[in-house]
Amino acid sequence: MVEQVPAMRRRRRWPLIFPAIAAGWLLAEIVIAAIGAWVSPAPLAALRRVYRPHPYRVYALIPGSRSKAGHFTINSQGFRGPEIEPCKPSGTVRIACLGDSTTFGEAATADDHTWPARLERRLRERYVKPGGQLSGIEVINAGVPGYTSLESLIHFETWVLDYQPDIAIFDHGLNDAVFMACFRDFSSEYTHARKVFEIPRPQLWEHSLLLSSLFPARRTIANPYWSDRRPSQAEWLDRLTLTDPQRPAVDEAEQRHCFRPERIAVFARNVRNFVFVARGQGVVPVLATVVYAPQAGFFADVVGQINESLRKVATELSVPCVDLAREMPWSAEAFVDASQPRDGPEGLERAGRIFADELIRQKLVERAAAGKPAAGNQR
Amino acid sequence: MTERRKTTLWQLLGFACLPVAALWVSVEIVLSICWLPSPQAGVPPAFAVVVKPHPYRVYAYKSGRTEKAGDGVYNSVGFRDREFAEQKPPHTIRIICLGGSTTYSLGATSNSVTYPAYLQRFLRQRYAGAPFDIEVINAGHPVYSSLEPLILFQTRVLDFSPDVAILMTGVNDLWEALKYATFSSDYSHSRHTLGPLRPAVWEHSRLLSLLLARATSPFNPYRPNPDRNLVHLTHQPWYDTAPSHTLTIPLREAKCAETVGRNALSFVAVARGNNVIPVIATETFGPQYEVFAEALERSNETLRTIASSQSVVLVDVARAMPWNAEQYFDAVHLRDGSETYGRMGKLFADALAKAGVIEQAARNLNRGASVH
Repeated sequence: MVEQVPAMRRRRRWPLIFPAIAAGWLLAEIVIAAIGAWVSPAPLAALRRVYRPHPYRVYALIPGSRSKAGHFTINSQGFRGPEIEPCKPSGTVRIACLGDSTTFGEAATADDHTWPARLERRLRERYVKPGGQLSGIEVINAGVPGYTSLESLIHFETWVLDYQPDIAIFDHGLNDAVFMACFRDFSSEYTHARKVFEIPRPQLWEHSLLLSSLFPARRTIANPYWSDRRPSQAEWLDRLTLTDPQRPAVDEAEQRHCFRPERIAVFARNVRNFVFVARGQGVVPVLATVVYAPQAGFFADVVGQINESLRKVATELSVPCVDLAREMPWSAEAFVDASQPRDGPEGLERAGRIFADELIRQKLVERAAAGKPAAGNQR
Repeated sequence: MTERRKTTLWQLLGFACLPVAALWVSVEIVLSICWLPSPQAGVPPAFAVVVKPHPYRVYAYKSGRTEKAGDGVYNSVGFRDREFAEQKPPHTIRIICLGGSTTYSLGATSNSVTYPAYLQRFLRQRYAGAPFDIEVINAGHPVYSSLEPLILFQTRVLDFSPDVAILMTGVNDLWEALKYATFSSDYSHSRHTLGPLRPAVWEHSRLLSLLLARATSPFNPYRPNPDRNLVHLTHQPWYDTAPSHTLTIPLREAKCAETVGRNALSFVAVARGNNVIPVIATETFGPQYEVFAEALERSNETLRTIASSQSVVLVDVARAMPWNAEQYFDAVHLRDGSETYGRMGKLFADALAKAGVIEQAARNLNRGASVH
């Protein structure tokens, strides 16, 4: 009798094992989350917060998202910066800036430090005055890191146009150069380099912090908490959107082997099509060259050739061209790396000033305000 | 005598969980053994043979493939047409037909009886003694809205140096405007790139899939849907009926027409910029689907306005070939035959000839030849 009591108690208690395990598990998850609060989400998780797949331009910025560090915010239209009215207010000249990470302002520590934001400030100082003709100037930052001329062309004609820009600046060449110089195969629709953007999904169990920490060897690259190899967001973008993510890092000899000068015609075709669409839709197009560190050797030569083809298109079609490559040659003081202007007076501030000066020199804002087409738009 | 202790809530919970979990697992195992349909991951094999995802235009046809039924044969470019030289032969006027399934000619039983094939035949007959040849290429893809042909035109078709480009569009844009609660003019609210089918999490359970058969999505891995088609594979799940907010339907129609107009205008601008003569065509919808037919008419009206304001040749298929049960096998698609696609080919041939498009293309050809 005496021995039966603990045995029966044990029998009665055994169902408690499930709630106990559940409670223990929950506790362990909380403890690990608390202890591991210093563990920032894996880069892929950060990427998922900002980018989403897009059916026509591979990927797009998620409206309303922001970087964890608070460096940038994406407005509800999917553009970096403050909200804009979908319908352009009367008396306002709207300028759209299309481009890649340099336009987006990857090195800018705040939304109002990018060159489009600085361009807006300078133009407002110049044109928006009490009692003046213009009640506002809005510059939309439609730059998306990693975009080529093709993605920006599609972005422009399928989305940006709806915001009724008067002027559209097209600043491309760097990522096109990668597609032309780093890949052996080449397709004029860039499918030799681009693939469909599919964000890998973590396995169900990987959503548990406890299991993810207990089984490091079983974690996939999509694990939301840890990544064994920690590539940067840019490398993640390459990994998820390029047919071969290793290609952008090929050496100069391989670049020389891959590159064919005739590939540049595809870039020129995209730029021309941008100009045609812009003019057909009543928007004044403006082209811009890109800057790359000359010590990059052959790749810098390719970028130089791309810039040259852009200048030719600008001359041939009478399009205003902001020659950033000549106006703001690369220097270690002005750039944080081979192509990104520094957040400061020598970098992004200067780039914004160069764009503003050219628009002012060409009287594009006055013409847009008066509803007059620019010289090349009179077709 | 032992004292009987009261069972606690936790114990009850434990007692309840264990048999439920065990039963669930057993049923799942039994179903996996006895229930024959095997899981289908990714694109169904019938489609996977002929289509592939495309990063810029949702999907593309694989080169050199043939549809299971044998009616569609795709050339090395991935078009439903015979092989053609990428570099245009000298003294040849090349006409490219862009659009959705109506251009592709769904229902035509072979590549030689599509509307572009008939158009080529009629134009060659009409210009039999001319010092140039005429080549018509079918670049139509089912499901393509007004957006994909624009992208296809800019990124690939221009490589083939076309002299004339015909865009027939409108019908597929209706789906994006009328089947979803939201609308985004880049169709990102409705489209997705052709890719692995994504069932809801609960649909991975065979038991739940069996019990909630009516609630399963077209992507349920255990209930293959024989009606699943390219529309399913390239779209987010949609409403089975038009959204009930009837007040928004005029707004949706307006947005759809605006988007079609915007894309058509861009098409005209790109074509002219590249020395290609643009031609626009309207589409037909069965009047039995009132909401769709009215919305399409609004888009057609926008195309007519653009054609008029931009001095672009318009082929008004909607007015010239109104819907009737004898000629159309559904709300949109013509039956196979010379009275249907043949008639459409003739309609286009007559319109191009009447507007002097071929003569203008021939002049451009001569100008190009003299320049070179």
